[in-house]
Amino acid sequence: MQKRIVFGLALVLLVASLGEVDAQLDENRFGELMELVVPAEKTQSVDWLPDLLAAQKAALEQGKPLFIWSMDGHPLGCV
Amino acid sequence: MLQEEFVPVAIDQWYQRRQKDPEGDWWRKIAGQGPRNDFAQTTQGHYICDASGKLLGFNGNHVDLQRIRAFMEKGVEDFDADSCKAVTPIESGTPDTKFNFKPPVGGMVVRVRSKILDGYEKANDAAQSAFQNSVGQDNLWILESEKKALIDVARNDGDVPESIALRIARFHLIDNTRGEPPRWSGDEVKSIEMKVNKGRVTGKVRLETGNGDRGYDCELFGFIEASDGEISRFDMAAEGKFWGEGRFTRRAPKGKFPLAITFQLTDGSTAASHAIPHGGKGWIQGYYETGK
Repeated sequence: MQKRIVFGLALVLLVASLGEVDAQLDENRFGELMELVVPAEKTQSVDWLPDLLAAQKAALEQGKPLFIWSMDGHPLGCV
Repeated sequence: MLQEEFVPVAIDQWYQRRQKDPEGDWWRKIAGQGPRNDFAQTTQGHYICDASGKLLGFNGNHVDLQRIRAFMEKGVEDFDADSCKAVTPIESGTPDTKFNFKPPVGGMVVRVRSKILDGYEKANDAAQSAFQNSVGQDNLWILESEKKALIDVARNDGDVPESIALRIARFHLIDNTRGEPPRWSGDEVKSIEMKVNKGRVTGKVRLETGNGDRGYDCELFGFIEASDGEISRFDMAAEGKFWGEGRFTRRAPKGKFPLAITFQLTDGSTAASHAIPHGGKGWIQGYYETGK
C-alpha cells in the first residue's frame, strides 16, 4: 500500500514537472516570434515627426495643423 | 486622415515640459491653453494646434476611434491656414542638453518589441482586448565603442559585451505592454548568459525582485552578424515566463505568463529610432553605464 502511495506521488510530481517544461527557443521558434511580434507594431504606419519645432516648420510649409500625440513615455517608444 | 490633413508629431512630454529651450517654451505655450497646464504634472494627451501655437483641440488620452476621428474632424474644421501667414519657423536655439538625448553617433539603434502571448482573462470589450494584445516598444541604443566590441564578438565568437548584455537585461527584458514599467536593479539580475557562436546568439537570463513579486526567466535566441566593419544583423528574441507588475503596469495576467521580446536592428533613420530608451529617461548616462 505504502509503495503504491509513493509511486503515485512520484508519478504526480513527474507529470507536474513535465508540464512546466517549455518549448525550447530554437531557430523555428525564433522565426515564429519575430512573425508574431514585429508586424504587430502599428505606430510606424504613420510618418511621425519626433521634434516639435521640426513639426512647426513642416506645418508652416504644408499649411496644415499639427496633431501632437503627447504621452508619459514616448508614443513610439515605451509608454 | 492623420497623414493627409495634419503634421503628426509624437513626443514624450516628460521632456518638453521640463526643457529650458525654445522647444520647451513652445510646448508650454500649447499645453498651457489646455486643461493640463500644471507643468509639474503630466501634460499628456492628444493636441491639435496651428503653427502659431494656438490650441484648436485637446482630447486627453481617449482611445475610442470614433471619438478621435470626431476630434480630428473638428480640428480640421477650426483650422485657419490664413491666420498663420505671418508666423515664422521657431529657431531651435541652444537645446537643453539635460533633456535632449539623440541616438548615439556611430552606434546602433535596435528596435525592441514585447508581447504577452497568453494568460489574460477574456476581455470584456474591444478596448480591453486591444489593451491585452498591445505590443510594447522601445529602443536599445548601443554606443560606437560597444558596437566595435560586438563586431569583434560576431567575427570571433564569445560573450556579448557585458555592458550590452546588462543593458538588455536591466532595461529591455521588461513587460512594457501596459505602460511604463519598473526597470531591474543590478541586484535583481540573478543570472545572465549571452553568447555568440558562428553568428548565432543564445542565452538565458533570470531576473527577480528581492521579495519575488516580479520576475522574468527567459531564453534568448537570434543572430548577430558583422560584415564590412558593421553589424549587419542583430535579430534576437527572448521568451519565457514573466510574473508581477509595476505601479504603471497594473492588470497583468495572474501568476506566471509567457512574454516574448524581440530585438531588430534598424538603420536609425525613422522617428521611432529617436525615441529615447525608457531606461535612459532623464539620465541617459546611467543607461549607458549600466554595469558600473
